[in-house]
Amino acid sequence: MKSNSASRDADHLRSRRWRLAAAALVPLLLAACGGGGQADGGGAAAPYHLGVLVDLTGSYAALGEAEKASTAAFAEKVNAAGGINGRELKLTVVDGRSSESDAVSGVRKLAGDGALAVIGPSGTSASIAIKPVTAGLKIPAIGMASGTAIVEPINEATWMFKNFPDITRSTRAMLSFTKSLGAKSVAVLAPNNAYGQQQSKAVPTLAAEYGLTMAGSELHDPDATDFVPQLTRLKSADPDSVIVFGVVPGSAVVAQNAKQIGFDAEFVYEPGSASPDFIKVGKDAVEGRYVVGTKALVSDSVAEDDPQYQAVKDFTAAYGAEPTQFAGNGWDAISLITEAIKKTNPDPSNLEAARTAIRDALENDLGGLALVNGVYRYSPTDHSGLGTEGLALLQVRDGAFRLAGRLSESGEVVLNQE
Amino acid sequence: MTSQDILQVILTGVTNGSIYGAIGIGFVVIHRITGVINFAMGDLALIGAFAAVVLSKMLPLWLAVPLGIVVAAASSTLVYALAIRPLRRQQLLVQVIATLGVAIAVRSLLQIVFGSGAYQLEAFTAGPAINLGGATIARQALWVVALTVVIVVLLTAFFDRTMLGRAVTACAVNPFAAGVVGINVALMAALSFGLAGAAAGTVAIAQTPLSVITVLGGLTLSLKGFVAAILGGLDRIGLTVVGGVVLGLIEAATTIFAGSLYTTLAGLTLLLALLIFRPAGLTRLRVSTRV
Repeated sequence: MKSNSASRDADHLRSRRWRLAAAALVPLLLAACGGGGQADGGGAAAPYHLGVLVDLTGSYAALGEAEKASTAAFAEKVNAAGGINGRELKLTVVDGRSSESDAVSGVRKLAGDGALAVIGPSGTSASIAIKPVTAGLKIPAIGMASGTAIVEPINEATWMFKNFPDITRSTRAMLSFTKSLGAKSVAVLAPNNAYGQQQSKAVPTLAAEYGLTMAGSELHDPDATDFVPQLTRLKSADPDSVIVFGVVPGSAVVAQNAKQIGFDAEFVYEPGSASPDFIKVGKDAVEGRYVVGTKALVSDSVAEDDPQYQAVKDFTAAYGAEPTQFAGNGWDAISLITEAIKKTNPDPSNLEAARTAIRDALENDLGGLALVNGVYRYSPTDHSGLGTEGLALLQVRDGAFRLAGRLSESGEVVLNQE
Repeated sequence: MTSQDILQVILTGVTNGSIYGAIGIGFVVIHRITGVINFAMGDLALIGAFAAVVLSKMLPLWLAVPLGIVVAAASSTLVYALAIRPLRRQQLLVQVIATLGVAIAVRSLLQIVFGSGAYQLEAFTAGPAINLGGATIARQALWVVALTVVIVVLLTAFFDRTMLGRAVTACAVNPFAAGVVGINVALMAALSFGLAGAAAGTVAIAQTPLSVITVLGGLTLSLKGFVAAILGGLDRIGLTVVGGVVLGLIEAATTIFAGSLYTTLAGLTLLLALLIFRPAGLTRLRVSTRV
């Protein structure tokens, strides 16, 4: 009997131990889900507190991670040099989870925590979603996404800016380029979200301008990892070229799937593919393919007399690697806000006045600020601000991006003479 | 609609369907023995895939893949020991909800370790895709289908032919009586989790070279696998794979013939219709016999 009760005790003890282990797991998980990290500035003067609302999970994670790293590198560089106006930069990172609702609650959280401005979100759909929220809370935000609707109509986007090359211009670049290759018909592949739907609706009008006929248009789940069915459908329409919207790694898998089914149209990719991941994932399937994206990706394309030269050099020194589209977006967004702070020297203890001052400075006082991904010229009527000088036609050759052409003012491609 | 398109639907559908089916087998094996619906199945399978990716950097592929399967099986068993067994006196629903918690935990842990980038694995056999009458199938897809068939054959033989398999089945039929005749029910349940992890993990690894894997992929795998498992009545291994292939074919046919806007709609409509009209899936079981 004694041994029986002892074994029951042991059993009991064991189950207690399990329960303890499970209990120990809970805070670990909470910590894991919380995500956001804080970098507290320790200076005497109160720091400038900025919110970084980027997607660290979900389909835009590849963007958010790069944006988070580059904003952190920028803040570190600024703080090491004594901050701005004698105050350090303090960043609060919030994961937007590639979701509109998480982005909206993220903005509210950051505004409540006393952030002066928001860097982000990473995607077009989320940026559109936070537009009315920024107006309600009166907090400036710079969406690092390309959709035109983020900052249009301008009277609804008083507090909303964006810093990704405008998608209409890059779409023009893609279409004019395929035209110059002799294409007569074009098809579109885009993710099935607000961004992708907008693009697939916009292309037919633009294509008609270039005399291209639409051969087909397909949407896919934003998280998809298999595009064979969509590509099979497009292939049967036999287009001369395919415009691929969407970001890495998905867009690189599109290239692989296209190669697998022997779909030999000319595929042209948007700036969301202007990342080393495109080549890392796509391997030989992306060899020879064209991407319209940041010219900073090809370092020797930014010569010493280029206005972007200094920014690219600073970026590379602080980030420890050459710019990519997304890391450049993060760097540029925090640079723009920092520049606005420098110009207006706001008092962070008066939140409302400081936020208003930063917004006004972004809109009016930055002139043409040359940064990594281009030259920014915000104005009261234009919160997109970016022309085409930062974009280029890139080609993957021997496993690396090469400069294949530059873009005209309206977005048409001017091919390099070789 | 050309014969080429139809052939492509079949090839794509069977490939994806095999993946769904194998994850579904994971659901079925665990449900048969423990009654639990393990919604962490896809995430556990993904652990195996990530393990294989990491191991393939240090070891040859032929060694990394089996070790990845072992990791998936071990993780699945560990989940039983840590999350399900301690709740054995609770209602089944509590245990099922615990698996949802496990799924989130696994996803978060993978995220911490691997970040959110895309990971790849080399194809088992190199070479261009195979052309069949104008449609194509990747060589790796043949591995996926073949391994799924192997899993079905091995598991069926195990449950029907071996003493241990029969002991496991006995637990499924009547755990109390099984305990009385000296079968260690807890051990059998742990074994079922291990087998489920191995089956689902094998195919999760085999499908990795077809595309890329990210830490969030487990949710989709779980959902699709669950539909396949329902088609198999949450009981029949072979029918689960048939169910997975049916789902894969419906998805591929919808995308190629109706357009990709309708793919998710078709899949989820199938799930809803099944739950309403045919909860026993493709089996002839009565609902009452398996609840």
